[in-house]
Amino acid sequence: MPQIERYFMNRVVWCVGQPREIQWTQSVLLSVLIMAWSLFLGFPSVGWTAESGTGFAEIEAQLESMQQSIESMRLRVDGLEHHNQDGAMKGAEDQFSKERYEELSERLDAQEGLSQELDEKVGSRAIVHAFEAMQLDFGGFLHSAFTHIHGDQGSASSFDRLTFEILLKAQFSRRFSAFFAQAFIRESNSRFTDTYQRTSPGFGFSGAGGVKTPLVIAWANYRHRDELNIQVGRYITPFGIINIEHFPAILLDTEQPQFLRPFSGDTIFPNFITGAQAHGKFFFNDDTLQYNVYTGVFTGSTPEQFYSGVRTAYTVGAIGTTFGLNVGTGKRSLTTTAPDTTIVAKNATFYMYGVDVLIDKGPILWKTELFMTDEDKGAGGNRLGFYTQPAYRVSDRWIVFYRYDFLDDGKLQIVPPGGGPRRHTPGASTEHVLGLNFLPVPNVRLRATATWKEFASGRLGAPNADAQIFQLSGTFSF
Amino acid sequence: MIMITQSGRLHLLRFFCVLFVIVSLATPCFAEETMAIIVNRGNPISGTSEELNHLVARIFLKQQKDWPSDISCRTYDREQDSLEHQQFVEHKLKMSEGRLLAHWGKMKQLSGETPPRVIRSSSILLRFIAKHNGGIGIVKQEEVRKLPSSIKVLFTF
Repeated sequence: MPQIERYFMNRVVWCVGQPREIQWTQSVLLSVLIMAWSLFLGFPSVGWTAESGTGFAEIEAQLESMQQSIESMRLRVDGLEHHNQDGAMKGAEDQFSKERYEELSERLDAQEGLSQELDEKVGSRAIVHAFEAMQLDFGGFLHSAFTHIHGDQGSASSFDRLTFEILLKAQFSRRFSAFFAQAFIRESNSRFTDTYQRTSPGFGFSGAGGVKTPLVIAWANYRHRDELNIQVGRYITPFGIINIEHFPAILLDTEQPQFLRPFSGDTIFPNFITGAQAHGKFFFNDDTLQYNVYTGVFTGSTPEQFYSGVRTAYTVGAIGTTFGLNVGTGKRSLTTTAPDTTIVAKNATFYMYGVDVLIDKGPILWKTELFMTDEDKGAGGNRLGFYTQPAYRVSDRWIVFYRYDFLDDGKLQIVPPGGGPRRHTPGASTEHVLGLNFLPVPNVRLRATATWKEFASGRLGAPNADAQIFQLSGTFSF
Repeated sequence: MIMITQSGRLHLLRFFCVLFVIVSLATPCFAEETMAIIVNRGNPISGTSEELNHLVARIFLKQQKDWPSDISCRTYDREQDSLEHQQFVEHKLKMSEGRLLAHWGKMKQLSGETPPRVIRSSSILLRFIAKHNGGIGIVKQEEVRKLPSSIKVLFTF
C-alpha cells in the first residue's frame, strides 16, 4: 500500500478507536486534506497512470475501503449525537426530579410540622367531637375590675367585677349555625346610698351574693345569602355601636356609656331581647350597607311586651366611616314614674330614635351615639343619651381615649312600695372619662380609667354633686 | 439677630446631607416579592382590579361569606411570618398585624367567627383550592407555573 494511503488509513483506524467525537472530526478533516494535497501534487503512487495496470482496481478498493470507513464514522457520529440527545433528556429528567423532590420535601416538612403541632396540642388527651356539627369553635374570656369612687360624702373601693364567659359557635351546615355565650358573674354595682343617689358612694351586690349566671346570647342563624340572614333566639339588640360590640374584651372602657347601664337593662332600649331578626349586608365596591329588622321580648318586662326596631348602617370604606340610623318601639313596666303622676306605669308605650357615627380609619377610632325616647306620659319624661368617644391608637399595644357622656333619665321618681315620700332617680348626669388601654398580647387588654361625674340638680330638691371614679380592669380572652 | 456666614451655611448643608444619608440608611428595607391570589378555576369570578381587591379583602376578613356566584368562600391564609401573609396584610388589607388580630378578636366575640385556616405548604394549599370551588389563597408569583389546570390566578400584587 502506498505510504500516503497507509498514513490515511492509519489515521482512519486511529480515529475510529478514539472515543471523542472531536478527535474524529479533526482526524477526518486532516486525512482528507492530506489526501487532496497529495493528489494535487501528483504523487505517482496515488494518481491514475496508464502504466499502472492494477492502479484503477486498487484505487477502487481503496475508495471502497474509505467509503466503509466513512460509513463507519457516520454511524459512530450518529451514535454520539444520539448519546448527546439522550444526555439532554436525562438532564431534563434530572431537573424535573429535582423539582419534584423539593416539592415533596416541602410537603413532608409541612406535614411533619403539622403532625408535631397536633401532637403538642393533643398529645394523649381525648379529642372532643361535636355530636352533629361541621365545625365547633370554643372560646371565652375572664374579666375583672377594681373600682374606687370618691364622692362628696365619703369614698368606697371594691373588686366589683368578675365575669367568666364561655363562647361557643357551632356550624351545622353551610347555611345553619348557632352561637352561645354563657356568663358566670360575681359582681357588685356601684351606687350612691343617699336620698338623691349622688353623694355617698358604695357597692351593693346584685342578685344573691352578687352571683348571676345569665345565658347572655343563644341564637341560631340561617344564612340564605350575605344579603339575607334569619336569626332566632336571644341576641344583642342591634342598635347603636357599643351595645352591639357589648363584650368587654373589645371595649375600651368596661363601663359602658350611661344610656346602656345597668348591664342588661333598658334605660333607653333593652340591651338584649329574645326573639327573631332578619339581617344582612349589601356590598358596593368599598362600601357596605347593612340592616337589621328585629322583634322580641325583654326579660326585664312581662312576656307579652314586645320590642321591635330597625337599624340601617352605611359604611363608606374610603373614609372608614359608618353612619347608622335606629328606630324602635316597645312597652315598659316601670318601678318608677313620672313626677306628679300617681300610678306607676305597667304597660307604657315608648318610641326610640337614634343616630350613630363610627370613624375607624388609621389610628383614629371615634364613636358617637345619640339616642332619645318618646315616652307615654305615665312612663315619665323623655330620655336622652349622648356620648362621643374619640380614641387614638398610639400603637397596636397602646390606645388612649376620652369620652364625654350625658344622660337624662327622664327625671323619674321612685315610688317606695311601702309608702312614704318619693325619691329622685339619679337624674341627669355627665361623665368625662379619660382612659388608657394596654394590650401586652392581643388577647389581653388592661385598662386604667379616670371618670369625673357630675350630677345635675333635680326635682324634689336634689342638689348638684360630683364624684371621681378610678378603675383598673383586665380582660383575658381565648 | 443671628447671622449665618457663608462657611456656616456650608457646614449646615453638609450636616443635613449627612443626616439625610444616615436616616436613609437607617430606614428598614423589606424584601418584596410579587404575590398571586389564586382561586379555583370553577369560580366564575370576574371584575375590575379595584372590585376584586375589595372583594378579596372582605372575603379574607370574613365580612363576606359567599362569592357573587353564590359559592361559599373557603379562605386559606399563610403563616404569620411568611412573606405571602405579610405582604397581603400590608398591601391588600392595609392593616397592621395588631389591627388584624383585633379584628379577629372582635369577630370571635360577636359571632364566633375564626380566622382563615393557615396552610404552610404551597403545594398543600394548591390541593385545597383545587378541591373546593370557593377556595382562595396566596402564593408567590414564582409558584404560579406549578399551578394545576384546576386553579387560576385572580390577580397579582
